[in-house]
Amino acid sequence: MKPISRSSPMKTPMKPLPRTLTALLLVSLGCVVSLPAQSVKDAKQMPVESTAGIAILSGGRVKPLETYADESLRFVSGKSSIGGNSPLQVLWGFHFDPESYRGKAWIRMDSQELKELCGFSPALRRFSFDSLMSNEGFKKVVERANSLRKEEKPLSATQKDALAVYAKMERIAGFIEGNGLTILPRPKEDGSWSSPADLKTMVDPESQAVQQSLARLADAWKRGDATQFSAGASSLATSLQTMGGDLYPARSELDREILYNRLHAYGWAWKAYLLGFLMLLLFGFGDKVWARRAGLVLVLIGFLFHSGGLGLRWAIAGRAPVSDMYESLVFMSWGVMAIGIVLEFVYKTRFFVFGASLMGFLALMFSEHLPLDSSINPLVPVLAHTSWLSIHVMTIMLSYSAFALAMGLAHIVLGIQIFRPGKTLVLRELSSLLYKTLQVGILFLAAGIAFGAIWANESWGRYWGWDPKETWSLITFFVYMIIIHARFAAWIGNFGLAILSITGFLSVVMTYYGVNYILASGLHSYGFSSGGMLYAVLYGVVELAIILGAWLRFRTAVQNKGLAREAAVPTPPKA
Amino acid sequence: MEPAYLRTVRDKERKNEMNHEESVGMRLFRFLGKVQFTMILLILGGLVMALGTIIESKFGTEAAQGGIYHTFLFDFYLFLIVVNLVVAVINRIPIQRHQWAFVLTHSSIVLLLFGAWVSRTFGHEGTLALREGDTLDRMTLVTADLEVRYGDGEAQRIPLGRIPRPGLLDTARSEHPRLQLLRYEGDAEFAVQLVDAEEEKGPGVKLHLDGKGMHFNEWLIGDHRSFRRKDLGPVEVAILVAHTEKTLADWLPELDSPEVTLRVSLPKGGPAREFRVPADLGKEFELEEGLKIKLVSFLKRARVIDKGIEEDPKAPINPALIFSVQRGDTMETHTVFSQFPEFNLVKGRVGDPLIAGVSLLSPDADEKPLIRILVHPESDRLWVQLAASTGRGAGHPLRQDKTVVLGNLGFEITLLQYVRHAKPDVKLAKAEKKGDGARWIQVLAGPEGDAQEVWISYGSSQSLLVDGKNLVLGFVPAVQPLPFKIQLEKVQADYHPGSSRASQYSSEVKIQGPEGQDRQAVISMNRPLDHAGYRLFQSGFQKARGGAPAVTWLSVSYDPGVTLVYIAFFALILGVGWYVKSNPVQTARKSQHQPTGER
Repeated sequence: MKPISRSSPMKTPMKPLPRTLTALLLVSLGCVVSLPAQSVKDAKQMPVESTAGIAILSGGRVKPLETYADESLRFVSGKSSIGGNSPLQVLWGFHFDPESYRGKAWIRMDSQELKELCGFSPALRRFSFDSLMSNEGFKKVVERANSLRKEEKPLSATQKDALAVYAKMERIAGFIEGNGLTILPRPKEDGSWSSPADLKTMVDPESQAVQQSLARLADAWKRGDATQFSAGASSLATSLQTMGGDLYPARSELDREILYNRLHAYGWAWKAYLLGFLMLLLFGFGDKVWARRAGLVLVLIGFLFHSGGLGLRWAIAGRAPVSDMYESLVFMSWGVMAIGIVLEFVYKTRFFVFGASLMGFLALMFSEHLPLDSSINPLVPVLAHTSWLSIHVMTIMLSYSAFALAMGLAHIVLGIQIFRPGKTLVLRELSSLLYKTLQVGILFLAAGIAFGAIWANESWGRYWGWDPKETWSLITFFVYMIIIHARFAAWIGNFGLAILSITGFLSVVMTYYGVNYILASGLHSYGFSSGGMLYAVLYGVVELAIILGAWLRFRTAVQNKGLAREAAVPTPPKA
Repeated sequence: MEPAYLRTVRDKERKNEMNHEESVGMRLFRFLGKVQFTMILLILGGLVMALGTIIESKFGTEAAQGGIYHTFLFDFYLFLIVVNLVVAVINRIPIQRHQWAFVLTHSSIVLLLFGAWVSRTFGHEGTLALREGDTLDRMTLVTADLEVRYGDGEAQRIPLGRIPRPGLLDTARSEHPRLQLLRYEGDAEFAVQLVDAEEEKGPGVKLHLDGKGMHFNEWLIGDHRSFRRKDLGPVEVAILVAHTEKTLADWLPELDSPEVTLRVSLPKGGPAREFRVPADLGKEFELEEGLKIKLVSFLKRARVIDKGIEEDPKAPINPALIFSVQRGDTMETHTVFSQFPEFNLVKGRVGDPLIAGVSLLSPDADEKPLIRILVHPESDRLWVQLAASTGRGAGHPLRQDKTVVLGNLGFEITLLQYVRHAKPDVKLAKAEKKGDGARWIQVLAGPEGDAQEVWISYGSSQSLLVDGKNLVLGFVPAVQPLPFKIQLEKVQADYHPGSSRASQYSSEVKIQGPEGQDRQAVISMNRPLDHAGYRLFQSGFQKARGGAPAVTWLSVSYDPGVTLVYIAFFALILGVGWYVKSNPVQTARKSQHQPTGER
């Protein structure tokens, strides 16, 4: 016990747990995790999928329980399945057998300072509900953070992290107590649905039916009886449907979302794009027509999955799927493929699908692996009740798609310059296609900026306010104007066009991502976290190497007509 | 091989040069329409706009607007763009068929900028804040006015624009005194800085105090009576200059013999027993039948370690007393802290209370603590001391920017500024935290040579005496009368089911006029109302709370230029689409060496 200076409680250094104690803690955690599950309480035996289609009102939207469980597990642990348990297994496990599950180290904590304060080993990433509940250090930080929040004072980073972890514990507590499972379509005053925790006060026959079904499930869980569990799940679904009447969503709606969840459409899409790209890369440039056809077919299959996923998401959300970073990134990758496929059929070259499949695969894979929230959420008022949102965002994203496609084609130009510098005609054609793609991008960008201005005017009476996002979209327009005009005035040749198409995309990145994440918190802030900085530097180095390599080839090659400055910009038809 | 259109322009240039038709002036004129000039403008513009966004993220919207976007230079830049585009079209006269796309795209941008100019010159935008039941016939603009009232005359408003610029203000009334706007600060607050005084004034310090959930920035000056001591609420602060070294030594004694009292109260009640430290150290006393207490040792700077406490000369003052309690055969040792009564472990044990309560008190423990800054008579050394009115207490050296923890109060004190001979200078400075400050203007009022300076904050007014008459100056938002009256009947918010996320705000309004165009309407987010050329949008909402009714904010816009801008957008998109459609792609055919033309 130490007298802690009241002025700065956190400044008192917490002594780290003695080594033996830490070891004990680790061992005990390990023991809990590897304890042979007692046969009656093992979630993995239970057919929890039978509860997937039960509706729950959460986050402002009615969704299937499976979605809620999936979102919750991701939120709490950062993974989509843990310890071999599916999200629904985790949900019902905590609800029916809290004693076993509370000891499982599943709650994710990233902050090193917070781990130190709690006396946890910095090597551990996830902690159990019980270990956090009983941790004095953690409790103190959370209490202090909460009191600061009430006084509307700023919180330190560690305090914010502690509150984030506490929110995860609250989600788990919702499972355990049942008050988080708002599956009873009996709305309260604020419109939220009721939960099993409220059943105590509900005595009407419908509630009794629900109560009985839940009891059946609990009993089945205790006895490890899979058949009983399924029966209980279906009776629960029926009794909830009866209770809700019109309020309850149709079975088809719930099934549609479950399909979307399980389909993993985007995953199939990018894998198909990758296969298509490899097929074209390895075999598509000789005379092997079969390879080109196969590549195209693979890409089209991927595009089908991609479009299907987007369509399902549109139907589920009831609005165009372009309302946040994740959705717009997925849409942008779709745009790359769409534009690439359309231009491929218009110009009948091999390059559009080749470039599109590369960029599409990268963008879509990115969306899956960045820490973005992929859940479907309702819109805030300023974005709702208007179609301008969809129109503006989709048009802008299509312009980014076109510029991304252009960047892909530019890389192919440089690639050919490095490895096959003699292919003059191919380079000339490719550069012409690149110019065309840039034009398409400029068209969509001009339209997108215009639509954004119109939307702003219709929404709040001002079509331009020099907001950073607006301004950067205009800067991007200027950047591509510079590229187009520089090529027109023959200030740069086709080689310069390729280089600028790559570097110009930086402006798109700044507009799309930088304005939100770098400018918003000040220029010198966590926009470049240590991890982000590494990737940014790596990307810069790789690009520089490519550009340098291509330039060296360009300078030393004898036959260089393909990219020379004199090569004309395509002429329009004479009058 | 040059493209056809480039060739046309170059041919014309060459022809003109050969004919000496083109004077230097003409060539300069033609340059204004050239793509080289366009490139300069594009690159320059891109850089300036990027700078603007950086300024906005670091210093706020107003700084960016006032520093970049709404400056004369930026307007001139936009004008240059218009010139470039217009001359570019002129340079291509007579326009050939393949140049129509060019004319369409480039003139649409001219139209766009012209429309924006019309919006800015002839348009108004403002807000209406209405409580349920209110009627308004004027809106508050985003621009500001200076409201001038002189003597008995009528109030006059001088428009200051969105971001007031320094300069002479046109009062347009000869009887009004001369008014000049000296300065405008968008996000500022008044702060006292200490500056060197010419006369022999006393030392001054500026301190930052943090603690008890509050923080203060305070300044004290040694020989100004009123600035020598300040009552801040939970604590008092004072500055004292020692006359001699000896006085200083007197004020900073080492606590060799602290006067602390151990107060013991017994469960039976009755008066508390008190024992003095160090006088009673080592002695044993009988509290009651069979209950003895002995004061074992006293630590001035106690530090808690695993096995107990120890004296640490480097630790801050933390008086602690170890004493033992004996009842019959059992003896227990306890520790009590002067500054941390919550850690005093001697509590009554269940079923067998020996002692009801124990506390270690320093003298005057109940008085409001006093933080004293002590200044050395000659050198620039300072100490901070936590003292009661008796003036005795240990001092910590106080150095610039180093934080001292005043342990027992839970206060931290930092020296921000020290000036040996100081006088206060009240200055308006940028707010410490972005957005915390207010908007201020500094006005010079009165005839030249005899004018007064005054600072006025946004939304308030100041009065001065000029030439014997009262001059009231107000820095107020400009107001624009509307050609109609609008009344808010009801406002409501809808929420997404089961969450506190609002899904819609809507206001039911009744509008009267102009000339009998009465109507009832509902304005909601993304469903604005058009009336008499004005557009009203639902912009904000405040729930009814306490006794106050709900408030709705409507933003109002009158914009005659927007139609031109919409036409320009349409033309631009059409034009760019034309380019995309018309420019053919060079395809590589195996049988050709030349690129094809058509597609």
